[in-house]
Amino acid sequence: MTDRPPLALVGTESEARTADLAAERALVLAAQTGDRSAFAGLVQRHQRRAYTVARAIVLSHEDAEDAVQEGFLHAYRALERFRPEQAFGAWLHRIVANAALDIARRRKVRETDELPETLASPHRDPAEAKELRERLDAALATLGERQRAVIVLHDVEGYKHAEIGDLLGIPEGTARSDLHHARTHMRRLLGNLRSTS
Amino acid sequence: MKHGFKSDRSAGADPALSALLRGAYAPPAEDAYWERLEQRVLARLSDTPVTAWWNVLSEWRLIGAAAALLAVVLTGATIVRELSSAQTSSEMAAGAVIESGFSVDEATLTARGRRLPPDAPERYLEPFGY
Repeated sequence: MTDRPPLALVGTESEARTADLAAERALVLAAQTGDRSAFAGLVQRHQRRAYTVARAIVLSHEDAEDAVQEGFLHAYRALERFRPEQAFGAWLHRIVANAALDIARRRKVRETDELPETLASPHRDPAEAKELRERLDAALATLGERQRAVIVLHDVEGYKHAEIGDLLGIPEGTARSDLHHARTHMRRLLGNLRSTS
Repeated sequence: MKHGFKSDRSAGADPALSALLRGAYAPPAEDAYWERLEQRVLARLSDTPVTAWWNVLSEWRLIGAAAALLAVVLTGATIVRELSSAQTSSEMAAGAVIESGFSVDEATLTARGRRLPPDAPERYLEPFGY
């Protein structure tokens, strides 16, 4: 039990967390009365996480930016309906995820035909990062948007199954099985990664 | 909300794939990028009012007034139409009676007052002894 932080440190972290939540709540309440600078404060606090949520769902950086902007716009319009006792971040990220899912559905692009042959060729040169990235993008594009979102949110962003379920509006079990299928699919398409990366 | 990267250790995770995904999905690192994104978000909000309840009421005030005016006009039109229809019905009924083939003798039509039987005065003066 030596790896536990000292109690004083735990107390400080807890106090900092409480203060942070109180500051956020104050921003939310001010924003609900129409204070734009307060909403700007909320944008500052949440835009990075909102971007990672959106980026997990859509296929491109540009679409993720659009989803973030759409998400904040929807949140601003619906601010009156937000209850301050809720977690603002979870509420906002759900909205951003929905905006991203909308964009992903509109731009559903599947390029499965060329993949197997391309992916079968071994990646020998480490300098060919661009090619590797292209293969990864192509493999990700063959996943459904929900499976792609689940694998990125879980394996990249570290979200738990239940959190992913909340974000995407699906049961935890579905998130779990989506993750399994997405990993299997990616492993099949990028089977030689382990030996090359 | 801070999420650790402990997922790699979960069953089925592929560290190589996770590392590759992390590289591909890394958010931009420059602060300038986030400042620009924030400005773009706020610029899009500039013509979006907060939907507070009083704003919602204000938005619906004009629509409500127009709906009320329309209701008054429709109600008035309905009343006028009903009155006109009732008048037409009574006129038609009167016309039907006049134009009907019901036979009325001339004396009835030309009589000015109430017609009494010939022995009426006696009956009136002695109602019990008549």
